[in-house]
Amino acid sequence: MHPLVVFGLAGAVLAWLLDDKDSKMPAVQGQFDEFHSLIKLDEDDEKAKLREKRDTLLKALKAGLGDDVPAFENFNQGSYSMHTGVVPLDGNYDIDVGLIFDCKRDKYTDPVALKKKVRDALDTNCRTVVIRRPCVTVNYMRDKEVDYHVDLAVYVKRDDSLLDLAKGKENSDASKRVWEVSDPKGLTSIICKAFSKPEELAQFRRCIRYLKRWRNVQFSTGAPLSIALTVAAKQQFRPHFETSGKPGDLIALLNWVKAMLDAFDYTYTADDGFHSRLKVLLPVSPHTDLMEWMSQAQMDAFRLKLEGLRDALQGAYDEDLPEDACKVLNKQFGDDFKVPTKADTARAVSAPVISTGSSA
Amino acid sequence: MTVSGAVPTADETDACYRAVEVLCAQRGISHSRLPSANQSYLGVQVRGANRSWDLEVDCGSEALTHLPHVRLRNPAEHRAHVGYHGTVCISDNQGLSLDPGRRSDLVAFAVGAAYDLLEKWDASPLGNEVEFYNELEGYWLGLPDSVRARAAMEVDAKDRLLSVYHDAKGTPTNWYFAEQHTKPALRAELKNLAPHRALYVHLDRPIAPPLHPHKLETDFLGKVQAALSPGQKELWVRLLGPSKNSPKRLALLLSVPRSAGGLSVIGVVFWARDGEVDPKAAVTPLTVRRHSTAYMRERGGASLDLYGKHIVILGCGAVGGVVADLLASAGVGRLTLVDGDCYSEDNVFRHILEPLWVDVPKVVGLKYELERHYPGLNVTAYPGWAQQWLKSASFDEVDAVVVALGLPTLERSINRALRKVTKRVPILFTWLEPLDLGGHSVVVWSEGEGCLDCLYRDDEGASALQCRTAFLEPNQAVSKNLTGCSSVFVPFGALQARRTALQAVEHLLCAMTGEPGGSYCFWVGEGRAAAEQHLRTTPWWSEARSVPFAEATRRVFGPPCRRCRPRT
Repeated sequence: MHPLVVFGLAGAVLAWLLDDKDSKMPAVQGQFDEFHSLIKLDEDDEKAKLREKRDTLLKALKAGLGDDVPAFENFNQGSYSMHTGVVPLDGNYDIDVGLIFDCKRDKYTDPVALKKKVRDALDTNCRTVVIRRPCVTVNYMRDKEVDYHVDLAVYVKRDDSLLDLAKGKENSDASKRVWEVSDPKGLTSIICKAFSKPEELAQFRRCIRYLKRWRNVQFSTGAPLSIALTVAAKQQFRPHFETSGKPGDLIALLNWVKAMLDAFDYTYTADDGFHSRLKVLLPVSPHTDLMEWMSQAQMDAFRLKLEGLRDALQGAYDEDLPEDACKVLNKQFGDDFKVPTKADTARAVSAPVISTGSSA
Repeated sequence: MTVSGAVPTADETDACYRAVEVLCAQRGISHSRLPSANQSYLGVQVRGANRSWDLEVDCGSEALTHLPHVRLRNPAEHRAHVGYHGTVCISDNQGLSLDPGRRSDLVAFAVGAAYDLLEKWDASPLGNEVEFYNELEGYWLGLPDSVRARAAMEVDAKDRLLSVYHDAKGTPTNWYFAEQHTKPALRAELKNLAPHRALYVHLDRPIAPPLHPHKLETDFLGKVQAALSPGQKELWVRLLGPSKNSPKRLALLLSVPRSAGGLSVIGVVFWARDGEVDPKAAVTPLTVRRHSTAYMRERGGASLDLYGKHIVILGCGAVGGVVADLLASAGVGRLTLVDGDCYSEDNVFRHILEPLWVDVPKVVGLKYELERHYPGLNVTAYPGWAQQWLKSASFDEVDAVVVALGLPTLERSINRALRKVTKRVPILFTWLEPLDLGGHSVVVWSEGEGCLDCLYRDDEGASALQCRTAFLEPNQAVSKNLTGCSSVFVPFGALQARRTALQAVEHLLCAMTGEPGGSYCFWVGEGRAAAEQHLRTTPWWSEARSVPFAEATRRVFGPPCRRCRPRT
């Protein structure tokens, strides 16, 4: 018999006696799971509060709008509807609500006129209402700080299945007060159906949340929009599961970050000339670049931080000890990414040999 | 399969003719019926643009594999796709699906096809001549008294003297051509063969073969002689030169170019007396089948590109032995086989070697059998262990390495050693799981990201002893013995080994012509035998059957490990 077979079998017997089958408890994935449970904005108290605020607001809006304003129906949009919301660092929770008024754009040639009616209907002492370019924002204050806010996107109907979004601020030039064709429900559907397998969709949503939290930790200003990161995930994210069947969030996120960095391309803009940019095109009308507003400096900063995240994820994967890996990740994702103690992650001493049953 | 048909009745032949009439009416072909001496055949005259064609069609054929035979009566000229006896080659009959219940329609179809073919080439005399000589070998086959010949040498347009061996007692009789003073490669037994002189010459233009009903005679040799170049004439003189036993029998091989590509080759056996062709002795046409390496490789579907490749196989057991055989059959021209094991009675049935090789190093047996089986194959046998071979190995002329050991630690060690090789070569690792669980093949390269160590990490990326691809949970007693501890073995069968090897070879050949980078293939067995033995399988075994190879590759390799990642 082959002498190596003899050695292998002897070792196998030893390993069989040692039996280390429980020695590979996944540690970093466990930390990711815990991190996700802390940052996830879902069916919890905060979301329930948001729903309550939303419903109160909608009642007030219906009561406060004059008879000359067409009736509206509402729907949830944004991260609330896409199940990608994260707990805000500053505690300023938000909810995005779409209002579809039962009229066409020709009823309000100035879209801001309709937004003003929404604002005026809601503007009371307990809240402040501001007309922003894409929406009407209702802020709820506590101790002079914004506690919650609700973004109301104002739409009117069209002859096709799309909507017209009212864009423009109160004092905008006439050229900036426009109706923009939009498909918020289509976008939500695309994100919600990004993957057919539930476990893959769940990992997709987890990784979007990780990156949104990373963005909140790493940027004070000039950060890419949440929706841009979500759409980028739709375009570039690929689920990763180990052959053990367990999810590998770290690798999935690492691969996604690498794919985003690979997607940077030299592009010309009128303000900054040729420079490296990441384009994230809306997959629905109006198919605009969600990163278009970012300057070269902001884009450079984003790329640099993304490279830092890539290196950190790679470094974490390479760390021998889970606690060392989590320290690296903690610097990227903030303190909600917990660093376990050595005792928490200590592995049983694994056997120096196992029998595999392989042959040739 | 051909079913010999009964002689058709007059009614059946009439029905065939009516079908011909219908076809001719549809196509506007003027026609008439001809008397036929053979009751099985229908005589038909169809009139073309320049001449009439007197045809005979077989109405009695119940063949399931080819169309009814059509013969042109009195073939007085050389016509493309018309044989010496007038057979009109209307179809190559490859893969035909016929309706044998519509015999008369098949007869009519055959008449129409023959008419089209004859008319096509009759309209183009120059094209007809070119096409006729493209099919010279087929025409030569039909000459009266034609005899089989086998040419082990390359038909390469290089004039030279040859040796030819006549098997006069064989049925049928046969002539074996080989390079001068060498033996015919595919003939094991030479005892009954009589050696003769032979000459191979290549002419730029063909010599017209005889027309029906004339036989091949010495005048053909006179035309050949007249066409020879001075150098060829010298060889001719040497062929016919004096010998002890005059008169003597000689053979000539003649090749001419085909406009369709390649060369046509025909042969002639004749007698010589006193340095001249004997005009009174019979001249025998030879139908030459090529037994040359290049021809058999191309004809047999072996890759000509792979002929120049050198692949090393470390481990020549049940899997590695089949890998060697498959690589050779695919066309690889050079193999180095490394294995220190001797063949034993334990290996019979799951190894490719015959029992007569028991107690002989496996690589020695494989070298002998593979070189005999695959002409042109060059096998180097190294009856030692892979580690020893690696110490002194040169990779300058190595195009790929196969590791078929089934020993994870040694394989990882080999992987690291091969990553020090300066040349970029693909390395295939292949192994199988016990019983009927399945098999694996992994291709990595000697440089770049993705190595075997990448697969030996746990979900967290930490180094592990278990491969991510494993179908079997570790540390289970899978080995068996029949006579005690000295005969312990891992149970698997020849089918599992061969299936693994086939997949591995396909994987390697694909990798050799594709993009570099790690890749993983596998097959998942039914697992019934494993279940009966209560073996625990991994989640991957359950899931793998529904995972595409590309996705599986992504999963098992993950990010490059420290050993293969470029240092920054």
